[in-house]
Amino acid sequence: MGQAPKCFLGVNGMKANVKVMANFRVKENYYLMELQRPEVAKNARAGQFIHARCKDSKDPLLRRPFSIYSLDSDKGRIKILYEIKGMGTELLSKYKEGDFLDIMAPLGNGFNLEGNISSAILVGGGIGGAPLMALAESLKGRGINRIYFLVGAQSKDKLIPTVDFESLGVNVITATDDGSEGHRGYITDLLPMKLKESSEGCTVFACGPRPMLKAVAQICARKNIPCQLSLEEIISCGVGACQGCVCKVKDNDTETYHRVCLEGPVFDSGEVVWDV
Amino acid sequence: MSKINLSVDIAGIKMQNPVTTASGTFGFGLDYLDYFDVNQLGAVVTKTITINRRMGNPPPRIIETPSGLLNSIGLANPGIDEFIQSTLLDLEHIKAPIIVSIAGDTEEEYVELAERLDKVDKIAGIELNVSCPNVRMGGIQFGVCPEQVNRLTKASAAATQKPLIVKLTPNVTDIVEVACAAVEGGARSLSLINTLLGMSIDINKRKPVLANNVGGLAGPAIRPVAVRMVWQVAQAVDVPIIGVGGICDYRDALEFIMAGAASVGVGTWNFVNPTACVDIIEGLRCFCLEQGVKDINELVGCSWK
Ligand SMILES: Cc1cc2nc3c(=O)[nH]c(=O)nc-3n(C[C@H](O)[C@H](O)[C@H](O)COP(=O)(O)OP(=O)(O)OC[C@H]3O[C@@H](n4cnc5c(N)ncnc54)[C@H](O)[C@@H]3O)c2cc1C
Ligand SMILES: Cc1cc2nc3c(=O)[nH]c(=O)nc-3n(C[C@H](O)[C@H](O)[C@H](O)COP(=O)(O)O)c2cc1C
Repeated sequence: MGQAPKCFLGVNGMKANVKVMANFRVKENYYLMELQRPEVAKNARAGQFIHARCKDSKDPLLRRPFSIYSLDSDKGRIKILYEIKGMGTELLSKYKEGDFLDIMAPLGNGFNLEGNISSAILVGGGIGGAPLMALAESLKGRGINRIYFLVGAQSKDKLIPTVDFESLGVNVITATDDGSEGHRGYITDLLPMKLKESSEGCTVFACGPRPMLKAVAQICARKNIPCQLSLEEIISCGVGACQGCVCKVKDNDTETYHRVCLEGPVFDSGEVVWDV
Repeated sequence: MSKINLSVDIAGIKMQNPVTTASGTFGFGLDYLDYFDVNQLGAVVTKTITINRRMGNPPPRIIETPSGLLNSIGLANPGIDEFIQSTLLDLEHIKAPIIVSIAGDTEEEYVELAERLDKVDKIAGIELNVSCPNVRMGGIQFGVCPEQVNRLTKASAAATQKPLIVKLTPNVTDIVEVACAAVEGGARSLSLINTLLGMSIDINKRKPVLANNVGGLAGPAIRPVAVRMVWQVAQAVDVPIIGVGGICDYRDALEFIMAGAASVGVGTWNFVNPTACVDIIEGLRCFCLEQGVKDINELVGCSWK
């Protein structure tokens, strides 16, 4: 007989109405929300996400996934950084301090920090930078101090705010497609140079649009540098039941689909199949 | 409280209440264990399984539409061997009746699946998902043709002693005709409805959103269609019906029950509210209490009886 599933051991409480401690605009379309949720703040890992019901409604219907941006286990709080895209995120921006938000959390696997990591290069495109902040915090917590954050966007106003990274002592390097801030061009243009400077034990972590992730994966593969990617797909159930959010991966030479919400959102770059 | 009877009998499957999970929205009953005790359910209906493992369709597989969800998962499932050798072991822990949904490309595949599941004690019933293309008939779905549904049901019923439920597709001209064909073929219960064929186009990419182009529409948007179909079918057949389509709360469940469903299946709403099923069971109990209903079975079909 298989091992007894979790419910029979009494685990519960993955869904809760949690108190909004703060919710404000940071810049342009980027908002920061702080939630009181000690159980998650204590146990969650960087790279995991929350699944939020932006409104008690039938339209929008589905929950919306947001990466954990920051974890404060002392205060029992978590933060998310979000960009207004459509109906769900617009509704989220209307929450006031003291309101309650219905979330399922923590979901997903999170970044793997088990290996021998001496320095880290984080590559973020657009809002994809959000989970990399929680990652930077946890790398710092493990005494890993050499952290670079390569952050890109179409233009200056689309760059995510980087002050939190800077206060943590992370080296921030920017690129914009139109050259309005930092390097003109793709952020991945700067990755090979950064890798050249780096030494043994450097690991790359990336989150952002699929073409960016593909470029990061290819650059790291050429140099044989370990690389973890956080992928995005439309997530509906968030628990692995519906098989909606899959991405194609190699599993012992055979191709298969893994669920972004359960086996992901973080994948080893070598696993990911880029044909779709 | 305890005086109210919520239990129902679906073709010999004794359910402690009418609430089940719609196939494909609850995995194999193990994904929601962090949210509630699945043993509170009337029954667990599993994801559809097939003979061979299926990877399913390429992504994107899901897109939200107004109060709805379009999906083209493509019956991704581990296949019958892995289901029997591995998944079933985990299901040992579940005490609620388990109904296994099956589908095939040919009649023989349905029969083989029914035969193999017939030998498994743990399984309370079999649901035929007939919304599957028949490869011998040029890919036309079994479920759209009354003659095919009749044959398929007959063949499958002959292969198993277990209660056989046929799950109807709404993408037909006359649902009553298909329902009667299934019952004549030996269906001991009907479940309806499966998803409505739909489509969504990305106007910026000028291409269909789903990689499979078309998909099945589910969620609150389809509920009135489902209620209407249950209402029509319930008056034409005398087997118990499992009503499915857009159920979010106990009021929605009651609409189906009053239309003639003895049991209900909750699908998409599980994704929105992972405790939806247990909330509905509680809601039904309270409704009966408030309205002085001693047995939920009294309400079945009351809108036309
Ligand atoms: C694991 C994961 C982590 C994420 N983390 C963050 C984050 O930290 N901050 C942030 O701002 N955004 C994050 N996103 C993206 C965010 O979920 C979407 O931007 C949001 O759901 C858009 O909802 P909307 O109603 O505002 O927009 P809509 O108008 O519904 O859609 C706008 C676009 O958002 C995407 N989207 C819509 N619904 C979903 C969904 N259910 N799941 C995923 N994508 C969807 C689609 O590509 C769509 O084109 C994350 C997505 C995933 C999968
Ligand atoms: C993601 C998803 C997967 C589904 N998979 C199956 C399936 O494998 N077999 C089946 O018979 N129905 C499947 N269905 C249909 C549901 O069981 C149900 O009939 C339909 O979704 C309508 O109910 P709802 O509106 O409550 O979701 C699926 C529906 C969804 C949304």
